[in-house]
Amino acid sequence: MTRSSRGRPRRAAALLAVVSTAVLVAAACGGDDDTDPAADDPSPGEATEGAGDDEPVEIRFSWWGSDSRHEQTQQIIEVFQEEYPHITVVPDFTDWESYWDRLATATAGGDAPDVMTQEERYMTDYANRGQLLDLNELPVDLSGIDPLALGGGQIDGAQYAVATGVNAFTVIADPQAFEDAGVQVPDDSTWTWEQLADVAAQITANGDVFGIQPDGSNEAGFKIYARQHGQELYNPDGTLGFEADTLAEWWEIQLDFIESGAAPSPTELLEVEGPDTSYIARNQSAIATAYWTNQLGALSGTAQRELALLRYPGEGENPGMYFKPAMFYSISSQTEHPEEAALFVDFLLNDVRAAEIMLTDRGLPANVDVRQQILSQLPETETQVAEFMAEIGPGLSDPPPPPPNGAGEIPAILTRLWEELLFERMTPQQAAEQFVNEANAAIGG
Amino acid sequence: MATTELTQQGAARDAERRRRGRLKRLLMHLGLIAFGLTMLYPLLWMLSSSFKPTELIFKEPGLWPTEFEPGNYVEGWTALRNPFHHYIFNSLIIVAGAVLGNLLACSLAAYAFARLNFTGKKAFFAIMLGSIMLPVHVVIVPQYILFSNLGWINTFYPLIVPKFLAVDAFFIFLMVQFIRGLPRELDDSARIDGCGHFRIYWRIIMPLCTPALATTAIFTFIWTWNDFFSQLVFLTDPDLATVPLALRQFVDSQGQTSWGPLFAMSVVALGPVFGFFLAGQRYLVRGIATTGIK
Repeated sequence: MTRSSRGRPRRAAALLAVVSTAVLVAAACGGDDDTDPAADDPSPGEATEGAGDDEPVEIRFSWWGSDSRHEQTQQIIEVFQEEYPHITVVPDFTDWESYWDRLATATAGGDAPDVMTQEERYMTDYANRGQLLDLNELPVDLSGIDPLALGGGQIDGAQYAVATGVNAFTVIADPQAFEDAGVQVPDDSTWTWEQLADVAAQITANGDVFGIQPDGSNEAGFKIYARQHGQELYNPDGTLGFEADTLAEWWEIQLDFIESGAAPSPTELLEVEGPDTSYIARNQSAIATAYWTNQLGALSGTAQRELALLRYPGEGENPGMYFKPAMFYSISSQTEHPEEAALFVDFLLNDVRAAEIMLTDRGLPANVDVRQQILSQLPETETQVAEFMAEIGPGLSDPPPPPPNGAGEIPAILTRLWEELLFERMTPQQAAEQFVNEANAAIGG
Repeated sequence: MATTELTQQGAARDAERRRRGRLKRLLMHLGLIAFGLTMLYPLLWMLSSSFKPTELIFKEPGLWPTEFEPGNYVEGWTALRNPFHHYIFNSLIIVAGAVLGNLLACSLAAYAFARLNFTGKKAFFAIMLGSIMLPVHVVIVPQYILFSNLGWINTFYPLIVPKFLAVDAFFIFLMVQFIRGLPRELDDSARIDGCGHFRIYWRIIMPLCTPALATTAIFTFIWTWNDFFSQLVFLTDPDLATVPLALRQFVDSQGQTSWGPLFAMSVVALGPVFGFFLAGQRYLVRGIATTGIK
């Protein structure tokens, strides 16, 4: 999502390729069935039949994140274990970049975590390789989940994953910076890309800070732009759904920000790593266009200012913004205890006690009732996010279909070409055509 | 007369040359110091950032903190699931096992390659060297399946036991080269005194190999201490996490990373490596000096 989270996925994708081969080999040897209990816990004698209600069962739950998420999740696990004393949930966590390496290796080794956190770019890969169970066939109650969020986890009618919560990719503005530059914050329900360019240039001209920190390397930003033009990044059948010209246009807009002085120089832009080093978090720009709503807390925390959420420009007649499942919960097809794993996923999704601890850390809760019940407990920035989402929700069009196999490689390609553009080694048209070629190769196989 | 003049001139020229030499050396040292400081800059920056409040680290990237926040160390030490010394202890167990394993196994293997004659020696040597070229990503999945079948996932065994089987070809190669440089006459005289192979290895070769052993120990220490990938894959239980894994828990590439505590604990994590290198470096230097005399 952010720059630093993109370095690794390519290697993870390569690993996954190795994985699938290895799984086949393991399956061919017929030795994969008896490996799991030993691997889960070195002590033998662990129950192998999960159906018995009172027999002690151990399931592993994996997720990525930083220390605060680890702490919260641990609390949730404790509440769950109090409710179901016979189930022990073993935590398995690391940060985003290493998560995919570890998950791919464990899956190949026949030792995948029973309940895993997934992300849309990888989910299809895992589902198509038969690594995920259809949640419709398990006792997970999906009736309360926001339908906008449910679709993202469906492939060919099977519910391989269910959204933990939803986020929206959006524009973040610093009202203080606008005021300092004597510029009005425009009305975001009608503003156009031209207006955004004008406003940003004005702020740079009038004040000490840059107008905008643009980003031509985030696929979510382009997805919105493509949708505004009646196109999609991916079609439902898994092919590319946009014209190269549209991508070139979008890049042109981003480059114009730099040329007009509204944005920092290319080298300065490349130094940004993650939200806390961004220009807006360092009080160095008035607008940022490449963050998700759930990053508002991190941004305004570092900025030590109140920041505002705005709609993307150009949303007027043909809206392109969408709710993205922040993450997914999935159940591994290698699990020995699908019933217990399902109980745990159900608890995470539908139990208010879990949501009260988690709040919006995994996105605004996907269960609509639960979302209502925790609203009053949210900290200020999260309330702001919830209100913003409630405001834009009704105007949104259908969510984009889940990305195809190999979508994990797209961010790396987009980033590389954007960097070529920043240093003027290509024209937007050339880069867009090359992107189409490379992306087709990545998702073709 | 002429000769004294000549010698005077010569003396003057000498003095001139010496002065120029000194100037040259001074410039060279200044250059080296400046270069050294440049290379150290990232490290110094990390040290200084570890004393800054997290919000200020990227807002005020200068070297000298305007606000001094030693609390990062306390917070970093206690922020994770276990206190930080728990992770240091885990890392030390693995490192100690790995160093011991590499010293024993690699030197034994190296002795065999350097001193024994056996069928297929050249082929085995080539295969051994070839294994250096295998990237970790190629072997990690088969390894995982193997260790998973042994029930060793989430134990330290996958990280320690292989080291006792001489799997680090680089160190074997290093020691083979070193042992080849030792005079064979020493072996012969030991054999006349009645030593078998093991005693020649243990009593004659090993003591002479100190520099190679020190190099092996230092590099094994540093590489194992910094190794992230295999520890990430084989240790999923957060209580078994090592220092590199623990440091990663501060990082959140999509949200707010606790940079202050992260840098503070990184400084702490550097301590053992730095200390071990300082202690071991003496042997490296001494080793090089004694091999020079031979």
